[in-house]
Amino acid sequence: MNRSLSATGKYGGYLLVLLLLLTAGPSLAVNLAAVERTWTPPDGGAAIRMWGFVEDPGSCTALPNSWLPGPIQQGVVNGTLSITLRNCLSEPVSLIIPGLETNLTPQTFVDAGGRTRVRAFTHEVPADNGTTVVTYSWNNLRAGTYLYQSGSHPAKQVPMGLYGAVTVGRDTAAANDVVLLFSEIDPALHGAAEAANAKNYKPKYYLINGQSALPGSAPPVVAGGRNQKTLQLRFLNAGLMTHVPTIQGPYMTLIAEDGYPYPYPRQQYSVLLPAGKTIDALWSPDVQASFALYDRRLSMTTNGTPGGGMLVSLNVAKKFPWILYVPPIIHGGIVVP
Amino acid sequence: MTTRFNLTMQLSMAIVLALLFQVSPLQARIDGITGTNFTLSVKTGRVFTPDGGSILLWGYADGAGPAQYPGPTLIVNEGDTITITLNNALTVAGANPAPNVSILFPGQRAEASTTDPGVPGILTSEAVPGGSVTYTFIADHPGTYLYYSGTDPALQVEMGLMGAIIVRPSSGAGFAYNHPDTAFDREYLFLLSEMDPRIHEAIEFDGPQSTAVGPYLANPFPVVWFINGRNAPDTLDIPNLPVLPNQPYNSAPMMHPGERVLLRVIGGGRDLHPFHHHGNHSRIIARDGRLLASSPGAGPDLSHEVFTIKSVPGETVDAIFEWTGKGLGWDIYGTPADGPQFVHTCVDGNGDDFDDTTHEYCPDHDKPIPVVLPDNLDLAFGGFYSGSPFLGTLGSLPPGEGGLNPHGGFAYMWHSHTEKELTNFDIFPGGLMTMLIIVPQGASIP
Amino acid sequence: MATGYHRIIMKIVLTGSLFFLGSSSVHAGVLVQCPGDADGSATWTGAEVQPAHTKCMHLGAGDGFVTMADGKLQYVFGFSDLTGIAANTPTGTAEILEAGTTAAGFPAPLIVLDEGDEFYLTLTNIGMSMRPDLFDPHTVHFHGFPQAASIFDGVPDASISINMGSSLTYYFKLNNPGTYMYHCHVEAAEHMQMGMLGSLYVRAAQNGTVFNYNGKDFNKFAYNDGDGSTGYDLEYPIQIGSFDSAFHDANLAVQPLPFATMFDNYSMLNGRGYPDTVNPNPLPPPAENGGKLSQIESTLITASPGESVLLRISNLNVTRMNTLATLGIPMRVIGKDAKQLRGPDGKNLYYKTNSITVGGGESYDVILDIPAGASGKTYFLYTTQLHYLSNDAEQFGGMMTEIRIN
Ligand SMILES: [Cu+2]
Ligand SMILES: [Cu+2]
Repeated sequence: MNRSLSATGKYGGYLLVLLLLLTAGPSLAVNLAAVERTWTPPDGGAAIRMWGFVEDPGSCTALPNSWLPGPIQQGVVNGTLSITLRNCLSEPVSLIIPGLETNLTPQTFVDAGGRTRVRAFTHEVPADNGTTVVTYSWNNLRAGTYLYQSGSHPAKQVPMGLYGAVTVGRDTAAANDVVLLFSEIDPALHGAAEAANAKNYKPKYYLINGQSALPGSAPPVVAGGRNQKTLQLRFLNAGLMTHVPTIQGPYMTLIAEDGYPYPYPRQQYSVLLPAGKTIDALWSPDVQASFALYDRRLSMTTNGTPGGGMLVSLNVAKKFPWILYVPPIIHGGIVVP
Repeated sequence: MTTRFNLTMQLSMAIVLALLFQVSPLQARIDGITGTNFTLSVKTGRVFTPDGGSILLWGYADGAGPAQYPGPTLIVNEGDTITITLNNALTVAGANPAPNVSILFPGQRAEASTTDPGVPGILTSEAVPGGSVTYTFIADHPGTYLYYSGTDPALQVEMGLMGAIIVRPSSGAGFAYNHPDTAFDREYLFLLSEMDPRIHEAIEFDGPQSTAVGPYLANPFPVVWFINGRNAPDTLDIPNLPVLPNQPYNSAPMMHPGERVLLRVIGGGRDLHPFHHHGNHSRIIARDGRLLASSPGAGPDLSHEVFTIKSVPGETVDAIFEWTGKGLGWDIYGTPADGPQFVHTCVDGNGDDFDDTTHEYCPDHDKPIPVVLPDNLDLAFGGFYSGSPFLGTLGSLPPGEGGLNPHGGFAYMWHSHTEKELTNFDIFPGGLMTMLIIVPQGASIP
Repeated sequence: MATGYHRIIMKIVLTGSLFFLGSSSVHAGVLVQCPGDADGSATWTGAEVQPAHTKCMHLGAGDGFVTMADGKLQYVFGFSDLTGIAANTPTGTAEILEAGTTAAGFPAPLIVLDEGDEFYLTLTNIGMSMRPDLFDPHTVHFHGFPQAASIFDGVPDASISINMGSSLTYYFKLNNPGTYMYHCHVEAAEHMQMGMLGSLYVRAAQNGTVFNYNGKDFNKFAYNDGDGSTGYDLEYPIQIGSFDSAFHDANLAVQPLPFATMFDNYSMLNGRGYPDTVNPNPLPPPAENGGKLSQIESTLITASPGESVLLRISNLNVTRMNTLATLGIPMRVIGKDAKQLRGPDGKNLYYKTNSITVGGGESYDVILDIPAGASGKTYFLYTTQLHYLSNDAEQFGGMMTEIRIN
């Protein structure tokens, strides 16, 4: 069974969607910068040096400080996405979207043994304090959910924080959609010395959408659409470890991975989400409530303290998804409002 | 070379005697507790590993019974309203009180009951130390499920708080789901898990507020692996063994050729395990308690065959395994050329190519085994080797060899193919492993 | 000639292991069983006639060395291909022992069979030239073989394994095409970590007939699909694996083996880390091997625009699962564990994706449909567990290769 997915912006009305679909190849052009920032753990731990994508401030001065995953890019089905990137970091960076096809121009070097190695999967923005900007583009966007991330020295630059989400379209069955981006931070690899060797990668912070739940506190809230309405859950794993997002509540219908629809949707309460994977699922909460969503690989710790980490509260609101709904107490994963 | 034990040597005489005389409670079925109302308690216990190790356990107990790893398998019927009362009888070291405890029921719409004495937690209602909590859900879908702690799961699931749930369909106990294609002759549970003993030691000596536990919890590094709460070769021993008071369940699958065996595979721990079942493919018919069906009532028309089941933590898989030896190209029951005792018939009355009784594949009947086996002097023998390549035959073996396979069955290792997980600490073999024994028709299976 | 064999003897003398000497003079234990083959070479030469649908192979089990992509010399256990050496001559046994000494290949020699074949696989236990204190038996486990008989399943606990200096011949009738794998199952956590593993696949009986699929004629197919949907032009076996060099070093140094702390630091495809994966040639043999090649399999994938490339992916990693991804081109997943992805009543379960997660003992059949306009492009096959893109401490390496379009 093939699903048709329509294009939409975050708050877009369906009329606008139709109009966008009728005009061929609408394009989304954005400007991003790769910058150094910090992330402060919720447990009061020391701020951690991060690299991240931000909306391009136009130069490498006056940069925002607090790290989050890069801004969500909302592409249009069959349209074009072009990202112009400025580099405020100390080494070349680049941009890839693993799930979308485009021309790659790999960058190589010759090692001491005379062997040619790829250093970056595609062309780069040089480290010149933001002087040069380079544009990356993707055409004929397929509906789905994708990661954008650095294609340069990925073993170092991706765990440093250079990633974000791209959404294209939305399943016709869904009234709302939400991004759930999983990632990890191993502070030992974020020092000023730029310890590049990630072979002993041991993350201490486990994040969803850049937030790690604080043990003993209510989990971060994610707007979960409306009661009786279908929500498209967009799972992305920008980390290097496998995670298993699990919902305590109604089953999900898994419909696509890496932007490719499954031939037959699957009913599951859990999602196998390996490194670099994206999965789209439909979910229809049948009560107005808060539902726990957590990693069943038990990355539910914050610097070793249990009860935190990859855990959010999906709030299913009464009326409109953008009105924050204060969660009642969760009982067994279901809420008594 | 490191310490290694022969699997044979490790197995207790009990199992050998049990197999020989058929007196044992060695059971080829899923053990558990049935009903609609359950009372569970969280207590401490000890998990014993075959290398002599002992690990602190926080386990769910059946009422006044001992803590269990895994918790009691709850076997219920579709449509029943299930009520579970959980008592917190946990005791811990140190000055701090024991933690709250709780249960999550993924796949079920569990609620704390209206008379719930529990306190609100982050994921569910919890029982305070000495207190209790009551959950209720309607078992409205048949299938294989699990339950586990919803309180600090990263710690409490590691400590042992997890177990299996089986919901029997209204079609009857011989079906996995409400469809004829899910019928089975036998069923076995494979609840897979692992432990990092450093975490358990820190909790044992310093209590739940241990500061030593943090680095281990952030990046657990398990060194012991379990099926149904036991490490090989204890998996193959009898259930309810007195020396394993907190690990009552075994994993000792047996079958006859031609039977359909249902595998209920559950990821109970935190890691993925590639569960490789030697002998044949199995057909995966369901995940997370839902039939792989293109539409309701279609049956498992989206099922597919695998030789390794990728077990995902928190996820359940149902698979059907069958074996006949079809198409091997030689007669697995031997031929007259191998000796007069091998004279047998292959009677295919119903035209399915198989003997109507033994399920021998008749097109291979009386075809000799195509190669000559080496002299015994050139060989090393396994404890589960019958001494003969032929099914149902005991061959002559050097003294001290074999012995674990009194019916002359064919033995197949079922195990994690992350082969590192076939160890108990540093000792091979062990870990996440058991043996399937296929015995000829006529040999009884307990 | 027998320099390698002499090295064994030298080693024995040096270590004073007289017991090994006595044991190795077992001598007549080498026995190749292959229908129509009189000289024990597992091949048919001269007057010998190959029976229809019959294949034979002779593997040796021993040890040797390989070179990691960062230059580290790594001790391994492994299989060598002894097919073609006549065992039934006065010098046959000595020649076979010589050829099998420090000849371990990593991965093990590729085994390619055809559906309908009867396969006679002789395993001769050569012994460990660098570890004369070891007398380990070995087996071949044909991983995933359907309806297996335990006598030929290679699990030492369940049946038999072959002692040093002797041979065991396995028999397999191939009724089912697909991507399997093979490995030694003796003390599996050790022998497999040490390298006794290889790729094995069975080609479909449907090959040779023509089916048109998506506007293209195919005559090679991963499975007997009846509609050409598993058709391909080129096939590449890709075996995922990794090594813990500390474990290998401990083994060579006759130290206690650290099972509990096993933690792989070299991630590889077909026995090499990047950039050695894209070297189209066998790697130069380490001097310690006496000139014998030990890493012959390249993982450089080359194809032309419009071609369909079948990747036969298997994982025999003993410590972890691996996620293998393509960059620039999607995977069309058409098989898992040597079975076509098709439901019992014929529904195709094929799906497209950018990555698959493969546990030890799992296999996937993946087709890359190279676009018509892809000339000159390079795609990548790499792990998204990005910390495994290294050769121990060396960056820009590990589990990665290139897909180069002509
Ligand atoms: Cu071996
Ligand atoms: Cu295997």
